Amino acid sequence: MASSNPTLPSVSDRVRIVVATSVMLTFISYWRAAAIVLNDLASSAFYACGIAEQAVGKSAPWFIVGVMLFSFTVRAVYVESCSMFVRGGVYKVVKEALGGTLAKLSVSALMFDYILTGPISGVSAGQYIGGLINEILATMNTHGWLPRALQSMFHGAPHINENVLSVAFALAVTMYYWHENIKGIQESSEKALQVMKITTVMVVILLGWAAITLMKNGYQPIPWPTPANLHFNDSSLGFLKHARISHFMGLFGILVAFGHSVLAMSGEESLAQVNREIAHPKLKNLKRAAIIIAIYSFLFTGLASLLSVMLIPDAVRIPVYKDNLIAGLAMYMVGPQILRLAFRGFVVVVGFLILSGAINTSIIGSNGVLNRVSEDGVLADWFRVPHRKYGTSHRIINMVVILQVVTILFSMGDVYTLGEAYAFGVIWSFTFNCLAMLVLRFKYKGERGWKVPPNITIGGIEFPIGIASVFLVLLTVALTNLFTKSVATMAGIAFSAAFFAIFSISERVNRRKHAVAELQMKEHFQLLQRDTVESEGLGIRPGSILVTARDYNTLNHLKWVLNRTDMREQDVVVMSARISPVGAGAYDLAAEQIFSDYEQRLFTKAVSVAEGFGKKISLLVVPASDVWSAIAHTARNLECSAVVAGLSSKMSAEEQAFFLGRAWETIPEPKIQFVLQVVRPDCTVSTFRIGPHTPSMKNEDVLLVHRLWLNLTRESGLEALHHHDILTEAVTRFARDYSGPERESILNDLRRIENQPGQLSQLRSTEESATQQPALNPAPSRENKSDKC
Amino acid sequence: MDLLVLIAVRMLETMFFLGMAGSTIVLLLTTIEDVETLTESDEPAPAAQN
Repeated sequence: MASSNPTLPSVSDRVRIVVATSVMLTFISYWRAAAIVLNDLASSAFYACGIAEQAVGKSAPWFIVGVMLFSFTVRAVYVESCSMFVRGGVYKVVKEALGGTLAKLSVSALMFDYILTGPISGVSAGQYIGGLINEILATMNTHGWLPRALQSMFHGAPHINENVLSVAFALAVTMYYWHENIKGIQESSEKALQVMKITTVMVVILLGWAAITLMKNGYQPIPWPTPANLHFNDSSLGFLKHARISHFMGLFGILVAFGHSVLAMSGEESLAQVNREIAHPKLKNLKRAAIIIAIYSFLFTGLASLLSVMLIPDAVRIPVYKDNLIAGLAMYMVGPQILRLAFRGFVVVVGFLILSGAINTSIIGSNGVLNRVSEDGVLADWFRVPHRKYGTSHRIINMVVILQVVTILFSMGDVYTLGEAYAFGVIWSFTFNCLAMLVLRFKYKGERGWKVPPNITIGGIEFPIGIASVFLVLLTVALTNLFTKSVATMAGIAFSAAFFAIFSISERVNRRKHAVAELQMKEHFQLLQRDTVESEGLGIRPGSILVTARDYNTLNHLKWVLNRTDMREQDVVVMSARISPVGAGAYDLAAEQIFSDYEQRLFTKAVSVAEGFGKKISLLVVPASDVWSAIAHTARNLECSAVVAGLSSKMSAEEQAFFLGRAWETIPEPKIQFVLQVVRPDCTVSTFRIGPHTPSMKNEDVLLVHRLWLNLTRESGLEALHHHDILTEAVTRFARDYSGPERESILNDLRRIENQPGQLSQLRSTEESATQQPALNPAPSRENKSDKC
Repeated sequence: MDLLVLIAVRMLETMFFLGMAGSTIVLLLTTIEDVETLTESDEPAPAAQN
């Protein structure tokens, strides 16, 4: 143990840091989890079949259906992986199974998958928009609705270059989300759910209308997926185009065609990324989310692919609609043209929402994975240094977006090439994950909630037949794709080699650096792991002050607290939240990952500040998915009387209070009320009460109540009336009216009040100025900016 | 050279179709479990934790 080491100070001399290992999460239902995954997975329906048909011919939809059915088994592997109780990032877990080299290759493939999700989604959305604009222009031209000048200028209907437009669109959306991610604005599961609701409306209309069209107009048969019906082009044979392929094509053709359709299940890996956030009962809800995802994507991607070949004539399906097949499907439904065009517009809106969302998901996912890889020690800490203003890992985000921008420019709007390359990342990341799970069946003996069936035990050894079968399919498809997708193979290998080199060099540098840092840490700090944060277990008295800390350059608020606190009466706890955003990883972090270099520097500075005041502070690190949730949970668990924070660079003190109040609403009972004090750099302080409390009233309202009281007490039988009786009656009447026909009128009145300057903060319960019962002896003032250093 | 390619191709075919056969069993078994999962009711949630 550390205390027995002669080179280190004794345990009692070192500063104790409590590291909570259970993540403070805001849990989400399985419907929301499914919506997040489907935002990624369902987006492939917009381009997968077009790419597959160009590669293998008209029987492509059968292979898409086959891939969607096979995705049920890949989903099962991810469910097993999520049900294992392991800590560490994806690199650590795969390294445990396969060793360092394969783990680095696995993460490189995963990064290739994540990074290419952005460009293919953006370019595909651009193709849908370009196609719609051209269709509208052509329709207007046919009906003579275009101005003559425009017609003569373009010698007919103007035509937009869809490839140029799609590149411009993809770049614009990528840059928009780059900016959002740098600012650190989190995506909510609510938004994902809304997008999926709109998508569901589109899918229902699409399938219903297509069924009517099939009954009325009949359909074109889809050739069965037999070797004779496969028509490969030079591009889809890749390196095999020069080989005498006809000699051995046969069943191998099925394998090649399956490989060209595999990107239909891209996005399945997102299931692992949302696992941690799923609410109790976790495993059951994870399975439910997985079932919803599998059925939904089968119905959407699978059936839309079949319908596109059945309804869109051969003459136009690939030549005109190869990059916007669902839009083409809308145009070949039965019914008036204007209705079909309107539905196509709806398809494009849904495509825009879901594909744009996938660009954001790809940046968030890449950032999350690379942050985890950095925490695992295979990416230099330099990449993770927080943005000076927003605190986000801007260097990682910049790197990801630069790679995406370069990819978009190189693609020149060609969805087919992007899709082929994308499939490389998808299949190899699935293969490595499945291999890791297969190996861990023999190496990992810890807790595992569920196993992929069937498993046969012979002589005391369990043989994982199911997972081995899935692995065989993935491996053979991945190996075949290496030879049949030349562009993907070259791009994938170049990309993976570059990342592999970065990871290897970073790991070597980090190993040296961490050895020194670890020794320094052991000299100064004693790391105590606790599964949960509780005042009793941590030796912190109820009524303590929780000080949040993020940037070691801005600890003014800690000085402000130390200056005013009598440590005999109250404890001061400095808390740093280690944020892993939603989708950052499937597994929880290990203690040494939670308390990293950055936290060490932050706490060294905090301890030095406290020593300057001659006072002792308690230090706490909590992993969380959302900083407000982490503060609210910790304040509740430690029974704090006050939370003190510095002013955020991203939002006002009122907004900080609003977000903390919102997080407070989601924490479990029993809840306690506390005070939030936001200390500005100039040491002025805003105080807010969090949780239900007596609202502060404006002077004119107090006078109004008093006038009413004077009048009412003159009435017979009301002589003993109190002021609060008037308020009780008023609020009860308000509640009744609010749930009755007066609701809209009340809401309009309140909106009018809220829009009056200076009224906003007085209406939100969590944003109320709490000058009446301050927690930390600020000057007795009724002003919001109540105190100075 | 062609012989080597042929051997590799036949191996890949065999592995792929064996894997597909096993995956079909996985699909059937997990579908049965899925139906059970969807129809089961939840146990009450444990005491509030972090």
